[in-house]
Amino acid sequence: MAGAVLARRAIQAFIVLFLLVTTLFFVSRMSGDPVVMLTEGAIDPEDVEALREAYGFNDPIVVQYVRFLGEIAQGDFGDSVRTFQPARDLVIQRIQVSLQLVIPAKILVIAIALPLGSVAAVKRGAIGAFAMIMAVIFQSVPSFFLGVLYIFLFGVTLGWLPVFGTGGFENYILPVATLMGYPLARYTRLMRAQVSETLTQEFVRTARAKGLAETKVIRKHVMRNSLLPIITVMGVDIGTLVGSAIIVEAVFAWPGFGTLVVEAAKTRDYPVIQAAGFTIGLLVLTGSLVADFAYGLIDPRIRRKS
Amino acid sequence: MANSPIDMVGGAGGGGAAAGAAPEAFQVAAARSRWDRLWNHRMVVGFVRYPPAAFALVIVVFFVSMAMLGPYVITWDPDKPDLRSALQGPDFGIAVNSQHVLGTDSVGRDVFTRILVGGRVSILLGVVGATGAATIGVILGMTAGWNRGLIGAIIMRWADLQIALPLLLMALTIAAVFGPGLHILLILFAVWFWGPYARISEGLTLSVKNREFVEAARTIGAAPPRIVARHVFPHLISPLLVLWSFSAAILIIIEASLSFLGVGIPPPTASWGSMLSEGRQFLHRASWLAIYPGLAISLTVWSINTLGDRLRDVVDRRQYL
Repeated sequence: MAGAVLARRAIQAFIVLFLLVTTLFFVSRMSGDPVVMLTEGAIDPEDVEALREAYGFNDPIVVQYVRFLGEIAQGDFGDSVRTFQPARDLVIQRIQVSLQLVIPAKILVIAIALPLGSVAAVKRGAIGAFAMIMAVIFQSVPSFFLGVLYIFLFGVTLGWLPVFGTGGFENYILPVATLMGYPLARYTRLMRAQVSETLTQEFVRTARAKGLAETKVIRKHVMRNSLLPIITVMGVDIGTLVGSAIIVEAVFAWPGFGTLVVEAAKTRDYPVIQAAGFTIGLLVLTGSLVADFAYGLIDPRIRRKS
Repeated sequence: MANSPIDMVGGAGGGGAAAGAAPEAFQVAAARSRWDRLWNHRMVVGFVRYPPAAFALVIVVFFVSMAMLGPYVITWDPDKPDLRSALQGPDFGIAVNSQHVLGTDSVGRDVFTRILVGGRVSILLGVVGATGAATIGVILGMTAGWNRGLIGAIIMRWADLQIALPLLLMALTIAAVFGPGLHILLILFAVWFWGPYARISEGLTLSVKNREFVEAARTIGAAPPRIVARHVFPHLISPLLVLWSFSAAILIIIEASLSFLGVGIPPPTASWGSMLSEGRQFLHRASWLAIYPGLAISLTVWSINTLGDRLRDVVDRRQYL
């Protein structure tokens, strides 16, 4: 039965992916003739015509659309207009560079925010106040300003850390710290709210009434139940984190996926833009499916109910 | 307060028919009294009595009034270079109109003036974008909730699509196609940010549509559009107001991010994001160029979030009373 629910979610995800591909196709055709856009009117009209024929832009839009779908089904997004490499390979290669920032950031956020949020909910003392002030600050300061502040403080004023590019371990510190800002605030707040709510549940009272040690109550009964809704949010957030890497990479000149997309947007490199949009969509949809699956795996109630 | 016939019916329903999708808070009261509560003066007083919320309100009112009165208040031309006074440091000591309070940028434009003018663009985009998105989202979401068949499914998949292709990436795609621009951004924010509104509206419409007062309206012959507008929509107002404030803050951040990346508001028009991006190059000798626009964004976002949080607290508490 649980399989049926998952299958339905998978079909829904597939439909969304199809809509995504359709959107990418029609948006890139919306401004008129792609060949004129690509060449900026700089070359001879006969060459433009030849190029148009070669790329198949003279065919009816429906024919082009079906061909586009067929190519994407084979994983072919065309070649980058700038570097003439296949767009798919470029995106995959650059996403790996971005993941070097995204994965440590994600692990550190989970390691810090979940305990901090729980402590803030259980003991409303100094730690709780600190956690909430931190959350308010990181929630209000946009990542590009946070990055610039870090550069100003640790790079320019103190001169401790390198402020751009890749290289040694020190090059990772500032970008990862910047990338952590907003998710840290978000997960701390979420976890605090969840734990506060779980604490009012009856099974917590029961656990206390039967004489369990408070640490055991918190660890086994409160934490476990509070984690469930957060798993769902994390699944969807996989794509969001890669998205926010776009800005952080621009601040620190990190040659990853974000830098690739911004360059592509500025140079009208459609194949790369389309491959990037498709990849992010695939990541987000897979992420939320995996979260659904994990949710059922962790919570026996859901497995049985559905 | 709850003594109109509609409220009596709604109250007696108690929400038993609701699919359990809506928070209890929304099942307590019905149409007419909700408006009364929202604009109850005690609530307004309680709203402002929390000091951070009062401070946040002052900041928002400041930027909004500057956005509206801008041309009458500023004395420096925000876009005109004046190379003789380039890169002057902040000068807090002297009256606002005689010196450059927050200094000047690399071509001698007054930073304070440009922050005020940049705020105009940011706030316009945040407020108009969030309002446009709310309008589209509420109409589509209520349609989806009312009409659960194919139409509802199609609408909700489109809402999912907006999560799969985040606004920032969509904006970059659009910038590649059309080039940067204010109008493009405004339209994009409305058509690519209605998902959350549709999801809330769909859920609440579903939870309300089988209640007795809706049944009663249908029995006396009201047409569906009328029922949805008069009997379902009032239930959505307070959660929508809260969502509206948060989404305005997100849109302000996204506009600033796009301008920072160089694909938002085209120069020379001032925008907090592009000012910050320009200021980056002068961090070592003119740090104010990056710090003040950044502070302006952070303060505005903090204010809107604080007001949104407070709004949610106040609305929730009053619903339990």
